[in-house]
Amino acid sequence: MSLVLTVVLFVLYYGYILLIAFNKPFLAVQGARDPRPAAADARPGFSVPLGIPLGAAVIAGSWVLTALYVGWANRHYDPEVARLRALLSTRR
Amino acid sequence: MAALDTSLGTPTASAIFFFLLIVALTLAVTWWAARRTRSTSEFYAAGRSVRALENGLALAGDYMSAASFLGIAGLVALRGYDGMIYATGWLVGWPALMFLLAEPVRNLGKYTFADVVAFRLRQVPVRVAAAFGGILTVLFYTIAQMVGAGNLIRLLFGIPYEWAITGVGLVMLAYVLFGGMLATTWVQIIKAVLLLFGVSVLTVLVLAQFEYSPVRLYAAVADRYGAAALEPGGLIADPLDAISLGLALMLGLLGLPHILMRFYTVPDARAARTSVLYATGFIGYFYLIIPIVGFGASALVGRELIAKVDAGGNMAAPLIAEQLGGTPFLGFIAAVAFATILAVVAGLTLAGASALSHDIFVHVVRGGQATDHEQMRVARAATVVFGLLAVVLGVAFKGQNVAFMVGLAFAIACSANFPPLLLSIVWRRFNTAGAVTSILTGSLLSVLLIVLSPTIWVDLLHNPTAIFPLRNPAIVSMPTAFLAGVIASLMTSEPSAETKFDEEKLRTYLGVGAE
Repeated sequence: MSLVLTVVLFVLYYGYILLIAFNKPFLAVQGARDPRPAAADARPGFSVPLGIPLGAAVIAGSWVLTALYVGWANRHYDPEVARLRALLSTRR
Repeated sequence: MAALDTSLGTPTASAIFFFLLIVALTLAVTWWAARRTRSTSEFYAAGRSVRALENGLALAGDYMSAASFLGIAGLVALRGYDGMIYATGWLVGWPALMFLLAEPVRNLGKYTFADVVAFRLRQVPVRVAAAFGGILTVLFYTIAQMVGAGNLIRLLFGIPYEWAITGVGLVMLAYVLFGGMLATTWVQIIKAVLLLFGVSVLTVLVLAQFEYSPVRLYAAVADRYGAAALEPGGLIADPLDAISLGLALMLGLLGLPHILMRFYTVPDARAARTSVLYATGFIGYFYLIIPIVGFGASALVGRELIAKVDAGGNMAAPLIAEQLGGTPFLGFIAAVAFATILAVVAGLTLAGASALSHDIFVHVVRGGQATDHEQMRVARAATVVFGLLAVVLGVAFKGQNVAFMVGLAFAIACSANFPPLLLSIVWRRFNTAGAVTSILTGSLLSVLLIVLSPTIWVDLLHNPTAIFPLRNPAIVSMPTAFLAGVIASLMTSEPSAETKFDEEKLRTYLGVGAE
């Protein structure tokens, strides 16, 4: 499990770094628009380049992976550890 | 607007008030902790009584340095999107730390990461090598922090550089010497809470200027400095260098002695696991909002003024704080920056001192036999030695550009400390020769390659071309260290290391016999 998550983490982060390294134009693609009507001082039709939400997504992705691991470890790993420890102590 | 009447660099009443408040609060905590710090386990590991949430905050406080607070805000303010790349890089090491090392380190070790590497190997050679790699990492990290501290405090309060460094050294020594890990933990917790609070308020103040819409903030930045400010620019031009920097930032965390040491302060592996989850949450939140502060500073204060106050942009966050919250809020943010430095340096000193006293004195000089009383005396002496060294080196490196030292610390950490840690946990055949070879290869190669890199060979020594083309050596030095460890292990045979692997596995994964 922890190896799977490590691989996912590497793909997530290096995917991001490699995008920066090799495909800068992609990160400059215009993404989210402000749903509210444009204010007088805002540039009309302005939208945020994709790189910014992607950077935030890497951080959010790190959270999710960490939380997944803790959830798995608390639910499956710890009971297994408790079972094996009990087994060890009855044998001795 | 606030162009010429900034009160930065003059000790205002509010700055002095918050500054004294923080020093008084942390010294009171130290006084409280000192009465609970008598044994070695209390000194190095706070008696293993720290709760998961507390350790999560303390990990965040240990890790979020002035470089990440003032540095990233400044980088984003001056260079735009490129600053965000650092913000993500500093965070992604945390899940990796969780998946690969946190629980094994907690179960196998006692006070230092060398405990883990040396668990089933011959103590003397492995301890000497691991202490060497650990102290090297901690020293470079400390120099960077101290030089940064001297400059920041001079800019924030107008105190001369040498005084500032000595002041930091003395207050920090008081924490560690009398309060040990317990005081250090609570100083880090206080700092983390203040920092997260301060930066949250700053973020809300910035967003309030843009009707609470980040999109409008970005639009304002693009209006003033062009759309390029929101896109990746020249910071990562060479893909290989980008990957190398990414490796160092991510896996360097897994070899930082002062971070690994914090896992010994919690009662068991489950608490270690939970504390990493909290730490990742706090640190991730911090890195999500700090670019907003940086972009806010460039939109509202302006790059010209930020660069005029400090060419590196380090004053971007204090300047925007003053403009939006007035002098009292500036005083608060300045005091928070000071607390940030203190907490990180205290953690580093404790890690350096534990390598000197626990690894070198107890296990090498005394062969593992020393009374608790003796260990405490040596630990405190090592703390003083390390604290004084930090002050002397901080003064000696005055005026140097120290950015590369943080890079160096991360490069050494991921090349010298991380490979033997991981190999000793997962690979049965790994032995003493492999551990010593991989540590020495990793540390010497990363130092050598940095000296030959553009950062030192061209920028500092003014040679026309660099012998080693990358600014960050991790992509070469880390795989080489792994390879050296594997080859040296395969060339030698150490039956006892293999036999003890089963016992080690029980302890790594089940916590049987863990301290």
